[in-house]
Amino acid sequence: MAYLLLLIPLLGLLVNAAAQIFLYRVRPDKGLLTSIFIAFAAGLFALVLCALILYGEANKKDFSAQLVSDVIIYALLSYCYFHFLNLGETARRIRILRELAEAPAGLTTGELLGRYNAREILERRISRLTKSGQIVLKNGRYYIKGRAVLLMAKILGFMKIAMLAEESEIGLKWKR
Amino acid sequence: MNVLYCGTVTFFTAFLLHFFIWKIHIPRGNHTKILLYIFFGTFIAGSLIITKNPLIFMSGAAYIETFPDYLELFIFYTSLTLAYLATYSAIEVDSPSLAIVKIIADNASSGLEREEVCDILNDEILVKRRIDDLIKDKMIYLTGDNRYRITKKGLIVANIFITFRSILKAPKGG
Repeated sequence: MAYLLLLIPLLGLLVNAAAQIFLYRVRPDKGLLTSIFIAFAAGLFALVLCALILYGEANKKDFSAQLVSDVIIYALLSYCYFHFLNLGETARRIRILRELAEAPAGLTTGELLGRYNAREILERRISRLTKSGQIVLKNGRYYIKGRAVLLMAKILGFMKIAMLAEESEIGLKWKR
Repeated sequence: MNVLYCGTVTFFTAFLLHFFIWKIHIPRGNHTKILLYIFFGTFIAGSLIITKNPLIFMSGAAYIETFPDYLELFIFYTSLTLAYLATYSAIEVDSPSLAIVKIIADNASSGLEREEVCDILNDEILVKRRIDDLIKDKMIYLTGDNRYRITKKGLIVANIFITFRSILKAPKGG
């Protein structure tokens, strides 16, 4: 039974992933992030339900401590799953690999840029940032509207300086 | 709770080790691989210390006793390490979305036109540097006639995402 209890967070992750795939397939219009949030809640619910049943059988005294541990492990695994999804959705390296995987004879720089380029990358992201209310278009110029992504950018910028002792690979200055 | 306590202490020990190594000299080569060595090396060393040995037992510190607890510690520690590695990769490479927001914020009073953003974040910055990264990671290579081709390693990674995105019924992404 002790070994079975270890699988509870993994079971939660499995429910999370299955629910996320199902939700996104059924309602892609709702967006990837919505499916991630709802699926996380579904996985958490499955985890608690499973813990209640299995701990009951095992007659564990320290139920709450074990549940806290399971929820933390589940949250960490879900965070990794979120990053995996995000890689497929936004990572430039993965997209370049996909383009090259589809071209067995290889691609020149020009051909590759014809399939995937900075303009496409920016169009997608500007559209996403506008839809999510992070930036706004006024008289043909973009301005900051929301603060969430800017805060995230600043946090990652400071972490970059702390860990890698460099400002930014594209010359952005974070110390302001 | 011992598992959480021991796992967290071991993780922060590994993190401090990584932090100080990076402060002395940032390693060349694949950072993910080096971080895996540091974090799992610390885990192996830590596992030997936090077992029920007389010194730990007498000091009253938390320790791990049973095999299932060790397994739980391994799952917890691995999740924590993978979560950190995912975050670290976001620190390593500038995200275009965050860069757009930062550039617009730097011009908060006058705002920026779409073309101005495109001039700053061009193909050289957004695409060619990632191509160079893929060559360094041996996922693609440049042939004699200046064509980029995918390696076996690159194809495995590409196929994982192609398969998963097809299960999701999601477009190419990027």
